[in-house]
Amino acid sequence: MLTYTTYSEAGGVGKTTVGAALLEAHAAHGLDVLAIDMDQQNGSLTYLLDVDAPRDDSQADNIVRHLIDRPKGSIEDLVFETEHGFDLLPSHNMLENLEDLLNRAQRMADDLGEGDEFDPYDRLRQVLMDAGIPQEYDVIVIDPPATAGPHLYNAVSATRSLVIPVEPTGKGMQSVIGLEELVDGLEERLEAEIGVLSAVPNGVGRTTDQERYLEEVRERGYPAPVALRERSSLFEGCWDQQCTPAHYVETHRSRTRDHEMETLEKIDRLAGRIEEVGGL
Amino acid sequence: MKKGSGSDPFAEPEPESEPEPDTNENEAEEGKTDGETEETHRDEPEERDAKPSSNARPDEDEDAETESAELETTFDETASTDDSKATAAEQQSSEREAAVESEQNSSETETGAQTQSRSQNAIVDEPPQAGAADAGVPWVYVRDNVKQDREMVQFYLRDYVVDAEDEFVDAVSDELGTDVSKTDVREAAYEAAMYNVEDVVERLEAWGFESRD
Ligand SMILES: Nc1ncnc2c1ncn2[C@@H]1O[C@H](COP(=O)(O)OP(=O)(O)OP(=O)(O)O)[C@@H](O)[C@H]1O
Ligand SMILES: [Mg+2]
Repeated sequence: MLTYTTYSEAGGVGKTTVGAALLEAHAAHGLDVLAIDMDQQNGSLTYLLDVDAPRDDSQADNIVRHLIDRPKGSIEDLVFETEHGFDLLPSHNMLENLEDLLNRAQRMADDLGEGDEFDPYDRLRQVLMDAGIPQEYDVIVIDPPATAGPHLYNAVSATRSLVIPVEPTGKGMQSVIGLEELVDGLEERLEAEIGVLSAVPNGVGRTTDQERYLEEVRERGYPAPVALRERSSLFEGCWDQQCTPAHYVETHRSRTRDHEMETLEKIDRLAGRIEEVGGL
Repeated sequence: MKKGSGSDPFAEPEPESEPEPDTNENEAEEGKTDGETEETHRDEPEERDAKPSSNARPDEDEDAETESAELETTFDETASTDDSKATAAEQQSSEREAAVESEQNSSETETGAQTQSRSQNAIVDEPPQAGAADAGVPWVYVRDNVKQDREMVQFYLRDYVVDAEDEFVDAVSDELGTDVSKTDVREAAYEAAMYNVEDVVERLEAWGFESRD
């Protein structure tokens, strides 16, 4: 089983965009794939995949109710089938209050004398496991919000592996240097071994820079099979049309463009490499 | 950290009796012990208990926490005169109760009964949404904004009351231990007044309303 969280220390580096592209590629490889959206923002994976979930119906069952042990139904009933060959457990506005809600659930568990069994950062893993979700999928990918907090910790605890889009700038490269420390911090907090499946320089401007960034990342010991070039037209198109990149090229491009096909091939290669490193 | 795949989060089916299925796995791989895991788990709730106001919300747990915190403070002041902590606390609490009761009795005879059986002859119903005492998620957590489910009504207030509102909200927030919006305080105040008709009558009399008989 392959599980990972798309993660980056900075926001807007392409977690959601690259995540959607990888999800599509895993599914195209014939794998059973589940995406989980832990980002409460409107511009999250749920939006990109155009899944019409009742995100602002506070009475409806949703992921958060399960995390705080107040479900209204089974988790399977929350899973949507996307048009892109994989499933999605969508985001919900209650995620905005996740921290408070987990604290409260912790207190309730304490009152019942079950406080030791309630780990607010390990809820998602528990919920998925209790529902038998891991048995139903080959791949689970979680899209977290940009900020550190219970969403990210639950995502990382449930996946224990990361795919890290890196901004191809001096600052982005600097963040690669800080990565080891950051992951160590997560490991300590979550008491689990965290692995980096791949770092992905994303949005590289010039071809000549590509190799340089890849070298830098590889020198630090992270798997980095590909760098993704700056492809605004393709990726903005995905956000506009609310779909994944291969789907976009297929349905919204009248002619194939070589550079876009090249990017799709790279994504496919990246997905394949991640599957390998992840032991599939 | 590992460069490559992390540990398998779903490695073992969850054993019924063991709360931490991964502990063994971690132990093997990282030499971590059960003790470590348990310690972290035990620390967290204690930490929260230690500072009840930081996450305070309008729920009963918090009320209880605040009350016992108050109790402790009053106890500290009177500790030197009492023999044991237990009796001091007991005495203190019964004194408090007595004080509350006599206050109520002196001001209004019905008030005591009102607090005892709120739902039976109260003017206002229990809130329709889940509260802190219910099994569900309390309304303040599930609403998306402070105006959700609320109807706007116009209030006509004189300046001296409007001027006092901010201070009132601050005082309530302080006591509650968490910031609360004016909208919430207003509704809570109005609801509270519905349980305290006599106070409202007193106000009106002070303004000059007179009984017809
Ligand atoms: N390789 C690329 N070339 C051009 N634009 C890109 C590329 N990758 C991502 N983008 C664009 O960058 C923007 C941010 O991407 P995305 O929302 O995926 O980032 P994120 O890390 O998920 O953000 P957040 O931290 O807010 O969740 C999007 O508009 C996306 O189209
Ligand atoms: Mg995102």
